[in-house]
Amino acid sequence: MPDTEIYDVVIVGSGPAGIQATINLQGYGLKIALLDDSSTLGGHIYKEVQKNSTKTDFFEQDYLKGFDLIKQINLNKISYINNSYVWNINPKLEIYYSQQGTSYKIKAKKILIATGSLERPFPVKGWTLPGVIGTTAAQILLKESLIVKDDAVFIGSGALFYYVISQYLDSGAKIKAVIDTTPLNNYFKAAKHLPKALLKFGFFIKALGFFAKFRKHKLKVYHFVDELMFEGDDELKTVVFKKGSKQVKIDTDIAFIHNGLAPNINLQLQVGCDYEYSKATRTVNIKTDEFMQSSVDNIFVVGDGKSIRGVDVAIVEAKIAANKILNDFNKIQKVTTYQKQLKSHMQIRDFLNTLYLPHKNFLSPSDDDVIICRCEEVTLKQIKNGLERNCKETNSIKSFTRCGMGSCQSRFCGLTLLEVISKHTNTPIEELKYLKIRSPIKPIGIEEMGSLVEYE
Amino acid sequence: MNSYDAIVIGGGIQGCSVAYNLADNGLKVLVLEKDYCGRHASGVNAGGVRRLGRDLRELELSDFSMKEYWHKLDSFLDEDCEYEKVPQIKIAMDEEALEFSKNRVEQVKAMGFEHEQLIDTSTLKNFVPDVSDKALGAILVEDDGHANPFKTTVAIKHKAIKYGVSIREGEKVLDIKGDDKTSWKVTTDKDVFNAKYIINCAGAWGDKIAKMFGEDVPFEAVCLLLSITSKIDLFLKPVIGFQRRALSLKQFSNGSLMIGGAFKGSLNLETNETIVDFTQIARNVSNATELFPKLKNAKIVRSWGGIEAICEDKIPIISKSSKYETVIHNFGYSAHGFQPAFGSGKIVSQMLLDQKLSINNVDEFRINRFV
Repeated sequence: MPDTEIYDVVIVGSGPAGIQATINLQGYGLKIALLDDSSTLGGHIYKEVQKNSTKTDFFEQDYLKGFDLIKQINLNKISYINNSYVWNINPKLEIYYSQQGTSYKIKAKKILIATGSLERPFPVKGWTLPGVIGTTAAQILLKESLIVKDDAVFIGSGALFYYVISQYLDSGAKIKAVIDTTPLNNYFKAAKHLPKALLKFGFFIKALGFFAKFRKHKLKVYHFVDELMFEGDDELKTVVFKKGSKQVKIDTDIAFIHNGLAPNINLQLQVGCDYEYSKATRTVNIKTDEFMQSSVDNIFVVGDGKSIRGVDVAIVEAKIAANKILNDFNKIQKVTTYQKQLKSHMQIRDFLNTLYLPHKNFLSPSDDDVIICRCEEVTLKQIKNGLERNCKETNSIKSFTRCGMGSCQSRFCGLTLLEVISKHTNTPIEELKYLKIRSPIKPIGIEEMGSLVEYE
Repeated sequence: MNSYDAIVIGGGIQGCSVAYNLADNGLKVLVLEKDYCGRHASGVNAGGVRRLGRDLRELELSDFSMKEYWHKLDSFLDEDCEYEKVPQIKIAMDEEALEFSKNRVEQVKAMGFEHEQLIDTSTLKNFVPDVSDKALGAILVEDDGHANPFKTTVAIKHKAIKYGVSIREGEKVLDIKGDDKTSWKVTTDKDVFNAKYIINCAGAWGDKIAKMFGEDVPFEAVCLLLSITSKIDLFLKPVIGFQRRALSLKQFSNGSLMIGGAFKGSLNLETNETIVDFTQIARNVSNATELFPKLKNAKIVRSWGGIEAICEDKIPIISKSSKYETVIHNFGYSAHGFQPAFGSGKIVSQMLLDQKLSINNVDEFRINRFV
């Protein structure tokens, strides 16, 4: 029977926040494990940056600086467990993960969760057709293997959206069209946050650079699109959208879509961390105190896995959590909360949140045939039927319609379901409960789980 | 306005079934449910519609519920509950289990019930071609089945509402005062109600309600683990059990399987939180692959723990209170209350209204056996 390995600190996620926390925690004699499902350090944002660090003509500085961060980790002082997917944590701080077809159980005294973000669902007609792909997938393809797809249509909004388009242009890819779904109204609303945001002028210089680049490449951009759908029988053939009063059709077999980011919260929720709905970002965020401690004892949550605030804030939050953990282990006397750094990096968030809040048509569909839950193929009509059957609680809708019960564990439908229930029951969205998240948070093979029989 | 003939505490399948029967007898009924109807054991159990292997003391109740309600479900309920009349089979994998099965079938026959029969390996293979070659035989009940537990609970809830029952969800009973002569005053976290009768259908919280009447029940709430697999080719029509071992297994029409079988997690009754122990799930699924080797290729999509209340002697309490004529307890079904629920709803209403009972053996269910 294998012993259950016990660590002082287990860090889940090796993106910028997980790396920064590891850096600040190493060197104090603590037994630390850093787990991540990919084979290399960096998370999505710095994916494969070690491999790409010399390609300075291809990748720009914001990405390459991840290399300097990763260099600071001393892999001799910690256990770096890569290719490992953490699929369950419980309040006793037991952690289950799978690595290359085998499951393991370890224990921790403190856990720091830094699982980053995922893409918000984009529930329009046809969004589940093969060929309609998340924009982050396009980015991963580029970073992992320098592969780009020519003649793609980019559809969406948000800082990451433009960033990926820019990277595509840099790589020499041909882009058929960009359909920008940022609502016109958002520009007016965001204007009041502009003075504070302008303090982060670096961001604006970068943004202006993007748009200059788009013009230089004579990119075809359609602005303020608020109605669209995807057509095709077994796969994507045509993107159809409204531009003013006229309908436009673009034939393509690949569309990269992006409807903003949301915290990747399933691991946090299944262990029971308290959450709150943010109307500003229309996402479910994890609640923590000023030291990044969640409602579950000894579990810390930082970065985009808590709320979407970008890499700079994630790194500061990781420092705060690491500080508190070191203090709890009596390794340092004083806890710093880095308030000034945090405030400086936050200056731009209100502006971005307001500007890139998706149009209501892309949060809650109105066509009855739109699929809400792609795993179980549950349509809006079925959800409405459940609501009429007097199942008004999020989880009773789940039980009744199977929405959110599939293998993605509601990653692609949870936020849409909240929007739909709120709209059709006239309940303020922040009063709704989120779906109960079960483990394993990713399907685990029965043989893969079999190794756990050996543990007590 | 807040006066009722009867207040049913608990909006699970038991509470809704009792409420419907009372309303059918002309009573003005209120159901108080602290979460939402079907939130706990009623909505998330394995959905087995099973007489096979029932405790002999509850066999008559189970058979009554099956023949009077499940086998006539279309005329009883208006909504689709995904009920399927399929065989339930309990497989023996060793000599000891086979011997146990033989004795069991004889005991059931001696009581006058014919539904359980012993089958040999070749008959078993006809029902489940993919079963392991190590199987020695099985007990078969041809006309048992399974249903979607949540949809079934919702359907009986709507039937109750159709008959005039009021249901208040998200309302927790805090206090009950009164006696047989005056009426009962029930205080919740939101309101106060009066009623002549109280029926305790509070499931895993039933002991807490019983305590409000000064009755202690030896009772343990446990967290029973269930898992759902990824969708695989349809290969299993019957619901499968493992004789003398912990396993229940069934395949849904969409191809996914439910694996259960009395493996336990831990729970906190105050917060409703359960902790799934995956070393136990691993044991549970390895029992399943022992019977069906082809399951090795499936994946576990989700596991969870349902809160179930187990009585010391593993059968329910269905009886008048030991202290009050106007109070009935109907809880403690010890993780097998889904199938009998329609039958018990009828029996409880007959008890309350002093009508002739539809079954004879109810003495074993008296609360007096404990207090």
